[in-house]
Amino acid sequence: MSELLQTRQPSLFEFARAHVLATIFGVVMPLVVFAVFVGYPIVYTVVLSLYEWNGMTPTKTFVGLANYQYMLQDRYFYTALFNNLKWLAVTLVFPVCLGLVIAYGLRAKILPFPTLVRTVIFFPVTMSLISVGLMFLLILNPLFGAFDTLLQSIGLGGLVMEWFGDYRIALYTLTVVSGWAFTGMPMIFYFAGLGDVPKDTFDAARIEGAGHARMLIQVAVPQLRPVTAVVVMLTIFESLRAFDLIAVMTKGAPFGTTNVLGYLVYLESFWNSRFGYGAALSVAILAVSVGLATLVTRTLMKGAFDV
Amino acid sequence: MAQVSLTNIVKRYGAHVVVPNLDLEIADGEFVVLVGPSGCGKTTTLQMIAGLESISGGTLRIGGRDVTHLPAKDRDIAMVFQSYALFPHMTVRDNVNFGLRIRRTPAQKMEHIVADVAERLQIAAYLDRLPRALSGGQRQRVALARALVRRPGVFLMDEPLSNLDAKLRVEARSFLSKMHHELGITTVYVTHDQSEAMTMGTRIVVMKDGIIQQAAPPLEVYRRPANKFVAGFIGSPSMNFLEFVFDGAALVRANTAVRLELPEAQRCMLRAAGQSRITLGVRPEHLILQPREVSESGTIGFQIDVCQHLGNETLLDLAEGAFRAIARVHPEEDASEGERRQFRIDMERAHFFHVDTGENLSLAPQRNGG
Amino acid sequence: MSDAALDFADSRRALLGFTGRLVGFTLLATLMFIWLGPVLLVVLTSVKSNNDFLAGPFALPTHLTFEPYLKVWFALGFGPLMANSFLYATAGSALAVILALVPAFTLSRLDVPGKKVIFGIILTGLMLPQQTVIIPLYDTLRSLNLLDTRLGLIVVHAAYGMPAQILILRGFMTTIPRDIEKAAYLEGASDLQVFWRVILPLSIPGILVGFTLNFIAIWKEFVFGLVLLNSEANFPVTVGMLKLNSDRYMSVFNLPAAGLVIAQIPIVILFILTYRRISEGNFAGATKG
Repeated sequence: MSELLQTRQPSLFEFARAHVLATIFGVVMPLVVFAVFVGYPIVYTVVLSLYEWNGMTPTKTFVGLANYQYMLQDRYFYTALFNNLKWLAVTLVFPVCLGLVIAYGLRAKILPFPTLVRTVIFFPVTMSLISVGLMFLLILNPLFGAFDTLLQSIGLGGLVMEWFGDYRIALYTLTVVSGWAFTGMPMIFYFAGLGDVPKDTFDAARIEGAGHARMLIQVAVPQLRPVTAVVVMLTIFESLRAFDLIAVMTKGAPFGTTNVLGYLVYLESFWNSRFGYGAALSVAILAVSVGLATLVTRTLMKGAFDV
Repeated sequence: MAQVSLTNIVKRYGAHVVVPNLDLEIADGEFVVLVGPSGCGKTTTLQMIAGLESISGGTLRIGGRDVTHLPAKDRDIAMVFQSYALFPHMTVRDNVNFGLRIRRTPAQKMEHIVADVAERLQIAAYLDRLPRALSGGQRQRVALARALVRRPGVFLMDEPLSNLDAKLRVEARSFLSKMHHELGITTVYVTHDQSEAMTMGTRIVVMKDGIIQQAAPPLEVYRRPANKFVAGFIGSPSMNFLEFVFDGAALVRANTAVRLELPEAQRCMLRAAGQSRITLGVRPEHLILQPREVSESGTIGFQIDVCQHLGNETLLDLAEGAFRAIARVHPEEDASEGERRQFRIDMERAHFFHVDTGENLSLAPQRNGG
Repeated sequence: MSDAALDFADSRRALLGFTGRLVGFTLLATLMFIWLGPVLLVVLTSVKSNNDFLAGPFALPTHLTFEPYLKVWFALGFGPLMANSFLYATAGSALAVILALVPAFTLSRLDVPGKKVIFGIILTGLMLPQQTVIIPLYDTLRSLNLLDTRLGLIVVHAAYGMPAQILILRGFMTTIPRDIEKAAYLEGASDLQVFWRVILPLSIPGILVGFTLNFIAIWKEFVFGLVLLNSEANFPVTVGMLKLNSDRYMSVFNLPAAGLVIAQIPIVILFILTYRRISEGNFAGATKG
C-alpha cells in the first residue's frame, strides 16, 4: 500500500543512507548468510560435479561431464529418482488428502473432540523421523511386532508381509510411515485455511442441497487453492528430504530398492568416497526440485492468490 | 408456495438461551420482516427456519410438513445471504444453477430456467463472468437468482441489502417488493433497518432478546406500538419519551408549571390503568411548534439546541432540563438555534406507556392484538 | 474468543443426524487408533520388564519397571546425547531468531527498494534440499577446523534456521498496525528506537512461536548431525539413537521404546507449553504474510 502511495521509490543508495543499521543488519547480513550457506554451496556443488575426488586428498581431477554420463547409465540413480517421485505421489495422496479431510471434518463439526484430534494428529510432526522410523521398526517387526500380531488376531494373518524385506513393498512401507508422520502438517494448514473461507458459501451450498462430499470438493477445495499451493510446495521439499527414515529403517535395502536421491548422495560421497559423483547427484536433486517448484508455480500458484 | 409455522421454538447454546419460546404463523405468500437490534435472535430464528441451526425445542412446519429435524435441503427453501455467499470460483451461470445441478435437472430445462431468471433479474449479460468481476448490485441479483431458480416454497433473506450503498438499496428494495408481488413466494426477511422493515413487509415482527414484541402490518406497528421498545425502534427519528405524573385530569411535572390537559378518552383510559407515573410517547411530527406570541398554557417549553435542515423538513433537537426531544417541523418554519419556544403535543396521537414495563397503556386490554 | 468462531458449522453438531454422529465417532476411533495407538504402544512397551515383553505386544505389564529408562540413560549414554541436542536446539534457535529480527523488521516495516526480491532470495534457503549442500558444508567446515565440533553444528543450524525465522517474524510484524510506529517516527525516533521500543516488545509472541518451531526443527534434525559430526560425544540424540537399531537391542523392545520416549519428552513439554500458539493459525498463518 505505502509503496503505491509514495510518489517515488527511493533508490537503494538513498535508503541505505537513511537507514544505515537496517541496511547492514536487515539486508546485507541475511544476503551474506544466503551467499555463504546457499549460493556458495550450490556453485561449489556444481563445480565439484565436474571433478573426481575422494574427499581426502587435496587434489581433485577434472573429468568434465563424466560424472553425469555415469549417472545416466546408473541403475541406482534411476531407481532412486523414481522412488523420489513415487514417494511424492504417495505423500500427495495419503497425508495431504487425509489432512484436508480431517481439517474439513473438524471445521464442519463432523469429528468430535477437535482439540484432541488436532493434538494427536499433529504430535508426530514434532517427532524426529529417526524416532518415527525406530517406532515403526518396533511395530512392524516380523517377530515381535504389534502390527502383525494384530493382523493375525483379527484373522487377517494372510496379509502379513515382510514390510521391509520385500523389495516390492518396502518403499511403500516407508512412504506410509512418512505419511503417518506428515499428516498433521497439511491438516493444520487446511484447518487454518478453511477458517478463512467465507462461512456463508458453505451455508449457501448446504441450502442448495449439497452434501459434505460436494461441499468439500466443489466449495472448499477451489477456495483453498492458495493453501494447496503452499502445502504442495511443502510436500515436494519434504519428500525430497526423504533421507532420515531410510537411514534408520532400511539403509536403502533390499538391494537399493528403497534408495532415494538424497540417500544416494550420502552413500556415494561418504561411504564410497566418490564426492564428485555425489555432487552430480546433488545437482540432479536441485534440478528436480527446481523443476517441480516451477511446475507448481506455473499451475497451482497461478492466479491462486487473486480469487 | 408454503406457509411457515413456528410453535414454541426454543434455541439454547448450552445453558445460554437465545430464543426462549417463539410462536409465529406466516401465511402463504406473506412477506414477513423480522426486525430488531443486533443480538435480538432474528438471525438465529431465520437460521433455524433455514436448517443451518438446530432447533432446541418446539416444532417448525413448512407447507404443513414438520421439518423440525429435516436437513436444509429437504425444507423447500432458498436463502439470500448478507454477503451474497457467491462461490468465487464459479461463473455466474454455475452459481445460479448450482442447486439445479445437484438435483440433476436435465440440461435443456436448466438452460431454460436460468435464461428466464437471468432475464428477469437483468444479469443475462454476465452469465459467464466470475462474481468478482461484478458490482455489488449485480452480485446481489446473482444471489437472488440462485435462490429463485429452484422456485422454493419459502424465501429466506438475511439482511440482503445491507452491503449495498444507499442509492442501490432503495432501488433493490422496490425491486424485491415488485418481485414478491409478481411471484407471491412466502418470504421471511431479516433486517436491523426499520425503514426496510416498514417499506417492504406485509407484516413486521419486532424482536428483542429472542421474544416477539409485536407482529403486525407496518402501519399498525407504527401507529399502535405494543410497547415502548417497539415505539422507540420503529420510526426515524425515534419517538420522544417524556416522563409525567398523571394527576387524574392532566399531565404535570413536579416543580414546574407544565400542565398538559388530556382529552376525555385518554383521561378515562389512564384512570382505568390506575397509573400515576407514566411515560408519554410522542413522535417528532406530533410535537407541534407554536407561534411565538402564543401563551404558555397547555404547551411545553423547549430550548432549541440544533436545527437540522434536511430540505424537505427540519428536525429540531430540543432540551428542557432532563428532557431531550426531537421535533419534526416544516422547513419554512421560523425557528432558530438557541431560542426557547413552546410546543403543543398532539395528544390524540400520543402514546402512554407503563413507566416500568413499557407496555402501551392504550392497548392494554388487547395487547399483541395485531 | 476461541477459534471455533472460524468453523463454518459452529454450534451445529446438533444438526448431525444419527448417521452423522456415527460416522463422526467411527472416524474419530479410526484416527485415534492409527495416530495414538503406536505412540501409546511404545510408552507401554517402555515400562515392561523383559519377561512381560515376551507375553506379547498388547499384554499389560505385570508390574511397571523403569529399568529400561535407567539403562538407556546411563548405560547407553542418552544423558550426553540429550544434553547435546538441547544445546544445539537452544543455541541454534536463539541465534537464528536473533539474526532474523532485524531483517524481519526491515522487510516488514521499512520501504526497502526491491523488498520482494530480497525476501525471495532469502527464502530460497528454505526450499534447498539439505543433501545438495552437505558436501560443500563438510569440506568448508573441515577447512575451518569446525568439523566434528559443537560450534560448527550450531552455526550451521542457525544459518539454515534464519530464513524460516525471517518468514515467521516478518509475517508477525506485518500484522502490527503501521500507525503505532508512525507516531514514534513523528516524535523523531530512529529506526533503532522504533525497532527496540515498539516493534520488538510487540513481537514477543511471534518470537516465542519462531523459537519453538526452530527448537523442534533442530531437535528433529538428523542429516547435518550425521555428516558433520564424527565423535559420539558430540552427537545429537537423533544420530545417537541409531545405535538402538541393532540386533542387540531390537530383540527386546523395552530399551528402544524407553529411548524413544526420552528423546520426545522435551518436545512434549515444549508442546504443552506452547501448543495453543503454534497450532492455532500462527504456524500456517506465517506463510500468508
